Amino acid sequence: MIKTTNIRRICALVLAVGMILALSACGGSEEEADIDLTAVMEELTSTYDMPEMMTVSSTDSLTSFYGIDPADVDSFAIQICSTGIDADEIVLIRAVDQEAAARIAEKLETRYQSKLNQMQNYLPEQYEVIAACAVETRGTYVSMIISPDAEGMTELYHNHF
Amino acid sequence: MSSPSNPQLSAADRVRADRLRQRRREKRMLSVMSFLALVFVIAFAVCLLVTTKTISSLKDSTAQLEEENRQLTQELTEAQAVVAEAQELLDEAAARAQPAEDGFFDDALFVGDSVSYRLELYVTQQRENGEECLDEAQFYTAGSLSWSNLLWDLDYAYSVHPTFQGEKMYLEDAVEASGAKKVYIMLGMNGMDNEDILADAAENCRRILEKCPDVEIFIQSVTPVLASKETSTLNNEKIDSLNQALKSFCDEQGFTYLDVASVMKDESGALISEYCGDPEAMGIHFSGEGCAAWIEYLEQHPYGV
Repeated sequence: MIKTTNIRRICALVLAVGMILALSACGGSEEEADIDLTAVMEELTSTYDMPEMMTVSSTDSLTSFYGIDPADVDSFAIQICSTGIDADEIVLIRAVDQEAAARIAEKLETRYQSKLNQMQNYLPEQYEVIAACAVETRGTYVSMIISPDAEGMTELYHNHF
Repeated sequence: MSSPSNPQLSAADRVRADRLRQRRREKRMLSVMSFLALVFVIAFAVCLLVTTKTISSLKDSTAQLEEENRQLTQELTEAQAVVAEAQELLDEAAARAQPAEDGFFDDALFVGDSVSYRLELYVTQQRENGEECLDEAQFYTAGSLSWSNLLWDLDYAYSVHPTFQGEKMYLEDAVEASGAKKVYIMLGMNGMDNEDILADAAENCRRILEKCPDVEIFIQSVTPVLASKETSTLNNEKIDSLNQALKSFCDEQGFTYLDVASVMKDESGALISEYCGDPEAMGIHFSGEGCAAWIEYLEQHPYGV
């Protein structure tokens, strides 16, 4: 009877150790990918036809367009349609940590809603484009991909994770 | 009658007669002297009177002259002040007629619809390329923005208030947040048929000045549409008419009117085709060349003169 209890304890211990090892292994596999956002942006712009776009690379523009604190940003790649008519806008940002990512996502959500409202009674076809898109957070990566090809672009972006 | 030559008179009589004559002479002399003295006294009195009157008159004249002098001095001072003020105005007018100096737009906030948003994108692009463009000017722009929807509630479901540095806010709050001292507004393309457009414009400007009293407001004329894109609701005749009303509005309110449209028109009054960035779409947004012409106008005519 005592032996049976010991065997059970040993089995439980082995099982627990095994689970811990398995969990830690899983944790290791979720370690965040180090993505070169500029390279992703180049891939996107070379793969898809876009209207006349402009590159936003200065932290001043991060603040003026989105109100994002540059201290929250690790790296970023942004393209905005420069004609002022098409809603196309691709924003890829890696935040310095999860909290910063949440703050950036909030700012991008404000921008997204603003664009959506502007187009609602103005350019309905652009409104539809924006409405089919979204702000997304993946770990410390935050994105806002607004384009008629947003679905394919998002998939391409996801492939880098 | 005695006579010195009368030999019948005694010596004593002659002496008495002499004395008598002497007394008579003395009396006559005295009379003459008295008369002369009286004349002198009268003359002196007359002179004194005349002199007193003259002095009094002179005193009056002097006082009058002093008063006149004081008035003239005062008028001169006032005239000098008017001249100085006029000179100051002339200098100011001359300065306002000069091209904008470096840093003039550092404290500027540009407010507008998609036309101004296009300018914001152009300016951003220039700055991204390392070019100086409108100094440190900031922007508060959104597609479909108008004089009237700026007055909507911020939490209204269809609110189109622009974001300023990532935050949606009212115009007057954006002006305050930006720290701007010059606010350039170009609105009117949207809601052109709004009968209350000037009242809405006045209310927006009132709100700005209530929050930021030291701000200078510049109203930019609505820019033309491409001839091939004119419609019954949006055409250059209507735009010109609105601009006339906006100019009068500025004159009444004391705002500066900047006729940006004047450098955007071809000979027919439509948007110069090279300046149009969306000839296949709405025909109202600018190409890079159009944006450059807009900025050139602002720099060369900072006060519209």
